[in-house]
Amino acid sequence: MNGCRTWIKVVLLMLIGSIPLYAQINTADALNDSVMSGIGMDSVFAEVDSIAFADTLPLTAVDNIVAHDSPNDAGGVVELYWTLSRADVLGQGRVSGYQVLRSEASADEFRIIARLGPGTDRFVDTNAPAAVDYKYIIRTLTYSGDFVDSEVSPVVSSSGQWFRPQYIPIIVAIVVIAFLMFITRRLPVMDEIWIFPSIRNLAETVIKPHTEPLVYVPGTGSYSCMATIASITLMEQLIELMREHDNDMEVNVSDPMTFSAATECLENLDHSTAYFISPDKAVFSMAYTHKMLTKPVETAILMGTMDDESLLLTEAGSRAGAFQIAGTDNVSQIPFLLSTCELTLIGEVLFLAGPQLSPDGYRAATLLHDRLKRIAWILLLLGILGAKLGWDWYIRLFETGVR
Amino acid sequence: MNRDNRLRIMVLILGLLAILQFFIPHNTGRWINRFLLDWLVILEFFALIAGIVALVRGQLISLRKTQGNARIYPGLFFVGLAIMIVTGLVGPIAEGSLFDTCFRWFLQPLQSTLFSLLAFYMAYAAFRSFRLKSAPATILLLSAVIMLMGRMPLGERVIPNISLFANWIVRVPNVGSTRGLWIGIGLAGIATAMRVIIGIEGPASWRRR
Repeated sequence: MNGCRTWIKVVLLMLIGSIPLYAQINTADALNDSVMSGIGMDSVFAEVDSIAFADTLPLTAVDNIVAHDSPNDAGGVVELYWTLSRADVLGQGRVSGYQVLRSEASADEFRIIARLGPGTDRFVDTNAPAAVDYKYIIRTLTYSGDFVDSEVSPVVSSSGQWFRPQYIPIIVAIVVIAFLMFITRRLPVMDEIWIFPSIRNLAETVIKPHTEPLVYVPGTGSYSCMATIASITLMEQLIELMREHDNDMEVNVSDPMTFSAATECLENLDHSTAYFISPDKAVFSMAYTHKMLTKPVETAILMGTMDDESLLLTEAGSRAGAFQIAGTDNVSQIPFLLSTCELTLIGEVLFLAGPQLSPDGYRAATLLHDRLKRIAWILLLLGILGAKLGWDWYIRLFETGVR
Repeated sequence: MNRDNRLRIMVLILGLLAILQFFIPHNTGRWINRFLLDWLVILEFFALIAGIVALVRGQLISLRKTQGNARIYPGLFFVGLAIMIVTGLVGPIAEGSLFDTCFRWFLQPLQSTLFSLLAFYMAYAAFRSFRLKSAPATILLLSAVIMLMGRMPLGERVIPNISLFANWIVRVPNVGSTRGLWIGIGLAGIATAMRVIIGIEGPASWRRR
């Protein structure tokens, strides 16, 4: 039954994932058609055709110069936009480029600060100290050496901003999540929390009698990676389970901060040790491979951020004949883990494993995660519908400018 | 207020500061970020010392316990450690120095050799994954065959339009699944971070007491 549910979820995921792609393709095609057949390009082509001898056009300056402080930054940046010279648009290669000249507002000493190619209608001055008033001129140059200056732009100065208003949705989300999490922490432990089968299998594996210490690797990322923190939390819960069954653990760590955390976790487990090897991933992989091939290992657990070395580590365990359980947040490494390990915790399951195995109050926090996921799905489905039905207001609600 | 609660409050304040600097584009935001990163470097330095001490202790135990050829590994470790520390402290570490030579002529070739094994491991892992042992493995095998055929000029001759289907696999199911995974990982990451900041999750000693 569980397998069937998983398959239905996979198919649904693929279908839902494909809808925005189709929406994007259709929208792009429609946009392209409307631009090419509409007034935009047609009118330009008609105008180009009507001018038989473009070289005879008078050299005109750029106009409509807009200068403003770059928003949402620390200051020091001014953005400039202008309408291209007609000689550039219709002149068939007559304009060789533009020069941007800048002067302080109180003086008239314009100096060239940038040279731009033809067809350029914007410039970002990243060297405009905050609180200094500047004015700009855009000079149009031709291949024959002629030039013409634009009118002087409005006076502008850059300044740093204290808040990014477009991040308000993120702030709201963080506050709501923190509040809900704080509330759910006070809830009694709920027995009906559904535990992922792979997490249950992981727990069953570590409580089996082992004659050799269980090998644990909390990934090869630094302690500032969320996956490493999740891995240490999981390790702590596994240690609690192992204590009741007299199993030992050997932890191999590549990050010094993680080593300190792992050492603290192992304090309550006799005959268990944490080994710091090296922050260098290649050296760590070599040492781990050597250990796996020279010592008898029954079970190896690799949880956390892993890059290219994931295959080296798990292949070593596979050759040593170890029962391997792995999990990572690095999507590109998941296929390698699936092919070399007996059990793989994919993506978010790694983060949920620690809380789900915890017997105390913070297990309830996983319930919140589950609810959050459902809310996210509803918002996503509405977003897909919104993209198709043209709900621009809904899409703008989530725009943060973060890419 | 006991020690744990003081620590929780410190984590809460520092966590909020780390979040806050993300929303402040002003130089003050950058200053907060730099301040926190500087402290991180200092903490990492002390953690590194603890790590190296543990590493040396572990290798000493290994040297004492092992016999015969196996002693060569801890021996090599101490020789390498001594050479790198001495060359780093005594001479310069610029290009062409002894320290740089040791790094470029010993460590880098070792790293390259190790990662060159990845190609063989990948082929082996692919071979193992493509065995028809279960329904997911069958789907994996079918997808792989379609992808191989779709990417080869020969494939297009054998099965016309197979490249279109291969492209569809890359653009639709693959992107859909990856996005699904990223959403899950993102939400889980936020939940984990918030648990740490508001003190639900933290060092092992917090919950033990």
